[in-house]
Amino acid sequence: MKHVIPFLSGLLFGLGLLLSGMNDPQKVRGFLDIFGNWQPELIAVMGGAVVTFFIVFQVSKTRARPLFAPSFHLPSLQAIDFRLMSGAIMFGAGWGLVGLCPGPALVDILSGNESVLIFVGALIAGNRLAHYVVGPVKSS
Amino acid sequence: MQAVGYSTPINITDDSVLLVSAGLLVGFGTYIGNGCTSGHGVCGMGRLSFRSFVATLTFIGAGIVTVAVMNALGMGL
Repeated sequence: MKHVIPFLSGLLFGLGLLLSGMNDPQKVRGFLDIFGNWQPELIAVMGGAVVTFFIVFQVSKTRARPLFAPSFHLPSLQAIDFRLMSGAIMFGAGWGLVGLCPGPALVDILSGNESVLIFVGALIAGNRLAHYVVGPVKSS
Repeated sequence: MQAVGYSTPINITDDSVLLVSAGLLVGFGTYIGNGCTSGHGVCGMGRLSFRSFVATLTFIGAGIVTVAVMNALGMGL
């Protein structure tokens, strides 16, 4: 179960991204293009996901522990600091440039699309670069 | 190469400078900002985390500005 549950979760998540069209960079850029040719459909994807997560999270809060793990792991950080803001701005800029964020980029790997592979290579390099330049990820 | 039986279209730039810059920014930014569209946008906002609301509004804002600037410079995909 330790391996089956993450696999099934990832499968469901990836299928959702594919079926909603969130994996298409052009569609994502259209969603961000509010001053031009705005295509607002992805609000429904994001909104639907947030509402679904909210409901499932409320259910999980009534349980002492998960079904297949010893305890829940919840983020503890609350500060709005420079690290958070600069990270969010950098991520948003990169997201707007090409229209890919990490989840959809990973889903699109199997298409074999060369542009996607270049992006994912740089994504991993950026992640490692941040680790060694700025320091290990903050968790508490 | 088509690895799966069903696929939705993937319309993406083939400008490698753009791809590498964007990949580095997304990888670096999500690492130091502790999350992306999924982590802050879906899970964080779904937990009603104020920190995640701020992060999500910030990266969506930065994305909107980036697309607007690119359009103004004639760099639309």
